[in-house]
Amino acid sequence: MEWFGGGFILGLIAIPVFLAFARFFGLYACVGECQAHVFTLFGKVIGTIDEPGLQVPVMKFGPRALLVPFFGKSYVVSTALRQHYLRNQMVNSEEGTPMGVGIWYEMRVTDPESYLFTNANPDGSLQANVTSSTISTLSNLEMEKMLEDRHSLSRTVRATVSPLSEKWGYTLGSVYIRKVAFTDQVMVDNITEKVVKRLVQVTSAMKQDGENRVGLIKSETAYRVSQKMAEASAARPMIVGKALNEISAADDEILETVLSVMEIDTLLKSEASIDLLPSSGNLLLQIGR
Amino acid sequence: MLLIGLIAGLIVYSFFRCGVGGFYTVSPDQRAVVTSFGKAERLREVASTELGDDAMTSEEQHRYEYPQVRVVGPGGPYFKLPWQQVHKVSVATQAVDLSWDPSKAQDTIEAVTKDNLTTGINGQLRYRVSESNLYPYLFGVTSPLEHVMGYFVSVLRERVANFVDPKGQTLLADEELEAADGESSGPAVDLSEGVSINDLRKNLPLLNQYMEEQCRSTTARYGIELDAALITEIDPPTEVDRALSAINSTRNQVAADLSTARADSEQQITMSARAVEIATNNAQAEVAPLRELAGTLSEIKQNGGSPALKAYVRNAKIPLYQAAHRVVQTIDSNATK
Repeated sequence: MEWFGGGFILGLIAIPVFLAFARFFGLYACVGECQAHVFTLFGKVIGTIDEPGLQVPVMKFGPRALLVPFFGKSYVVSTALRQHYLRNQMVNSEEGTPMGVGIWYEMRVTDPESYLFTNANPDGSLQANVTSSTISTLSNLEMEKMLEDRHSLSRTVRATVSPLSEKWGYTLGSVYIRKVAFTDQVMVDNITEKVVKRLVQVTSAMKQDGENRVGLIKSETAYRVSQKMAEASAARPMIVGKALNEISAADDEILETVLSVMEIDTLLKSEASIDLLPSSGNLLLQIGR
Repeated sequence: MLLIGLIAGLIVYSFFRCGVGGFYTVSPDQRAVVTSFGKAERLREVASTELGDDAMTSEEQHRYEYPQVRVVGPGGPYFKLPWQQVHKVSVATQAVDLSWDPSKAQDTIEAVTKDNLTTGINGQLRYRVSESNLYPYLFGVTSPLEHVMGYFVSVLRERVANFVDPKGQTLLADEELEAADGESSGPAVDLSEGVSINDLRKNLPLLNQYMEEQCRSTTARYGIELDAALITEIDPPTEVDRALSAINSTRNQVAADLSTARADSEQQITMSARAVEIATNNAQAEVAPLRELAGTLSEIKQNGGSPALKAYVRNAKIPLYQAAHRVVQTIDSNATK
């Protein structure tokens, strides 16, 4: 029974232990996606495996791969896309304005061997290069260009930094000027004040324009109303005069008669006190007194 | 016994390693990619071209080339071998604040407008992991969401710095003002110059639309599809905000004044037109009896000539004698002698 127990435990751990030994002795390597394994032996790089999947170094590098666990080392390098954001890089515009610039860039390791051994601090060196290139590209540019044309400037930075970074096993991905900001608070306040003044000016202009438009509407209205009222006043003389003219043109006597009849009718309707007098003027005057 | 125990141990290990530990399920909001010895099964070496990568240059397309891998859909139980590993990822739509930055705590992101005004922007980015391009999200990019945010914020800030109202000088040429007097005032005053913060606020939907268009390439770049980019807040400094409020109040006041003036105008013009109609009708009413009487008298004259007319007049005068208080009648002197 003891033998069975011992054998059972041995059976449980046999496979993991066997695999651990195999891995330790470099009999196989599982290379993940976007990973590279760099093998060194006696201070020399014997090769790199960047093909994902199950790999057997002995088949690629020969029997010397078996010595790597004892006299060398296997490095695992991620080749996935990484990113870094460099905040507040100080630059001066052409006008002398101090500005803070944020640079965001992507990079991936494309040469793991160079990445590991060419530069002791490739990340720091890349940051320094991007910073340096950014400052040299953006300094002494017009502030407006710096603010509005940042993508093309980003491409310039990338083109400048890429050759240097490739020496260290890096390939620079996209580079973007992510932030351009004013660092001087007094300047920020001045700009704010300028915008406020501009807005106040707009408000005044808008109000004045509104008053002008209202004034225009009122004056146009007065003009049109005046025209209409004049038309109304002229309606009676025009219509009555036209009618009298027509009657007169047809027969003068008819017009005289019509007016006489109208006068008589109106006189009767007026209920005025009526004195009928002969046509002698002198007598009329005497009676009137 | 040792051998039997060894075999039993191997069987138990294999049972738990391959049997019990080999089954897995994928929930409805998840997708999975299985790797064998670390390698994902590829469907093709370059992902589909229908991932919005037409928004990238050919150089960028080359940089963001990723293989298309086999994706395990929701369901199960699925079985995996001991040397396989399952990478699950949620493809449900998720949201993140625009101000999210893993390396800095902030409530809003700053952006400089075309008129150099520093303003705060906030909003929400809705995204989901692209099922059709899982490789970059799972393997190709170290921190995909940070990349998306970095790209998005860069594009946003440049857009804010360049933004002008596409409709031009509209501060005074609003439709309401146009309608108020019925004619365009024309670009009399270039008032919108220097107030791009106003343009930004008025054109938020346009800005959001632009951002969505620009960020279509994130699917091909980072395996993340942007569902929506919602910029909800543009917060200028308080004093600018107050000045903007004053503009809006004035605009409303001007619109109200114009509307009132137009209404008054219409009323007065209508009333004056009525006055013309009234005067015309009164004059017509005055003329109508003249014409009628003239027509009647013409007929009388046609039949009886001038004497008939005179007779008519004399007849018309007769009622005067009834109404007269006094009549002075002259007598013929020859007759009294």
